[in-house]
Amino acid sequence: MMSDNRNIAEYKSKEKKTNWKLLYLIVFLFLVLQIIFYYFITKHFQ
Amino acid sequence: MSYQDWIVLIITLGGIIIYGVYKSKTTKNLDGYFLSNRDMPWYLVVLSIMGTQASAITFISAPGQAYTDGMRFVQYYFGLPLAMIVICIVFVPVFNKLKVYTAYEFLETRFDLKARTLTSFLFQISRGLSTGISIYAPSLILSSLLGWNIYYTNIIMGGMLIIYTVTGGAKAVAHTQKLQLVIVFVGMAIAGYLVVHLMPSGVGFLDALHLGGKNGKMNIITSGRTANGFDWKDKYNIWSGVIGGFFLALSYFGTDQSQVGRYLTAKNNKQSKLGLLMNGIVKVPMQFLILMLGVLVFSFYQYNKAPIHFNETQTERAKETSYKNQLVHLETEYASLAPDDNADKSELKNKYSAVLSQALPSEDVNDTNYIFLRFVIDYLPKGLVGLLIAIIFLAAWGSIAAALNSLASCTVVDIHKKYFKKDLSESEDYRISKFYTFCWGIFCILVAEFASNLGNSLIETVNILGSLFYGVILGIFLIAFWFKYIKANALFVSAIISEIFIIIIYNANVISFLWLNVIGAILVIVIGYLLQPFVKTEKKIA
Repeated sequence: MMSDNRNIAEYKSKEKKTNWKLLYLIVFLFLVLQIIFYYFITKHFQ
Repeated sequence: MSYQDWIVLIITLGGIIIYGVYKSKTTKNLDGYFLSNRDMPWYLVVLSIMGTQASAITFISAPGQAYTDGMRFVQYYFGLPLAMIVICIVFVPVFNKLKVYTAYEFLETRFDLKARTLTSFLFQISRGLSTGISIYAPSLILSSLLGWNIYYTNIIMGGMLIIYTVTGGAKAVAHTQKLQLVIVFVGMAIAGYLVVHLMPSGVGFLDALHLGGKNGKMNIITSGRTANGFDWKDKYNIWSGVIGGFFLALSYFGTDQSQVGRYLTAKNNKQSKLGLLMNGIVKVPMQFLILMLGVLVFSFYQYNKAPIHFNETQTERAKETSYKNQLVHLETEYASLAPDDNADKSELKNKYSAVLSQALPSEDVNDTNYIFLRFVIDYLPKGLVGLLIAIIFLAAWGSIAAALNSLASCTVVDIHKKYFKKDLSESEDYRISKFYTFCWGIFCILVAEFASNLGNSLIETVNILGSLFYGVILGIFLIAFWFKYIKANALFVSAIISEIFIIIIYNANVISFLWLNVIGAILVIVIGYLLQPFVKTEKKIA
């Protein structure tokens, strides 16, 4: 029974597809936001 | 150093070595020794990637760089997150699918053995030399500040980690890097807190940043434009950072075995990619905070007298020459200035440096790398100085250990098993892998012992050395992935011509070093394309 449950859990975890495009977008947007943030810091502390 | 500092230093370093040896149990074959049986989760992968990239010079040199030049150095890392995305899409799936030990193994599949050997060879030269500098640079600073013998410091800096790197391979490297990074971040955070705490009452964190900003230290984003247009020799601006930094990061993370070897230890494709993407998110803010520490130290010295020259032992040596009176005169003049009289201080510092270079013509008189540690030694409480010195060792060990592991993997897999003994048993593989790791350790210590004057900033020296080779290596990989028209022989000739060109361009000093990565990559592709019709092609399955 335990073994069955584990197999089902493994199957489900394999079924969960990682949304790579979304992750790439997050990394890209985080960079863009940082650059904007740093730009304002540069201006603010001049 | 006080005895409390010594105790903290010895316990921290000894603890890491014991922990590394304790984590050394691996399967005694190539997979276990070089790739930790490919069983690492993503969070260990990201810590390993960061621990490999962040050497001791990152933590010593970066605050000093911000102190003198402002925070614009952070732009150098802007291309990194973009490179992480490209590597996840293009490089990682191929490396994992082919189950390679080294990145260069893939080149034999795509081209031929000589393409693989050439690229692996270029990597081993550049990584071997830069690892030697990674040992020498922090040793030089510590020996100078604390009066230690440089030769023994080099041996401790580059030698102690060999104990766990040789015995435990990639697994010991990754686990010690995890612990090392935690200690490094805690120590730097405490140092940051104490800089602000040591400011006069009423001066807070934001006031310190405002003070730094007024003196041009908060120049995080710069355009590189001057009255005469774009300055191609300007080292750090948003364009060189995004474009040049992208190519450098793509080359470093995609084709440098010291990094490729880290994410090949991951359990699967997904864990490798998650590790790389997390690095893309964390790296820029981390570098931002380290640089900010330099700005805070600058502001601290607006209320406290900064030494006219941060490398005191160098000053003492110069005073033993006939220039003593000139130096003492300038020091007296400097002492009479208010701490915040930056224009006059800067002028006197320049004059002082000029006299120093006359007094010690063979030495580099730039004191950028000494600023942060001088502050630590002069102002931080007992015990914490020992911790900060330990951090320098740990940061160095993290990157050196990964470099030794990757250098040995290339020598064993790309050279020894290809050209000398092809059919070795698993135990023989394991034995020669340990042997080559040890040999590379000795080689890097020897480079450190023979290293002499390194130029302005140590972190820059390592990056310049990388940029001389990375562009060409990246070009080879880009051709492998995207330019099927170019075949092995054309690629081989093109890579050699391009490398010669890059060295000529660097010696001509016409462009900032970050652009060499872009030029190197483009040159290999263009020359390869032009040569292909004229070079005899051997049939090879792509």
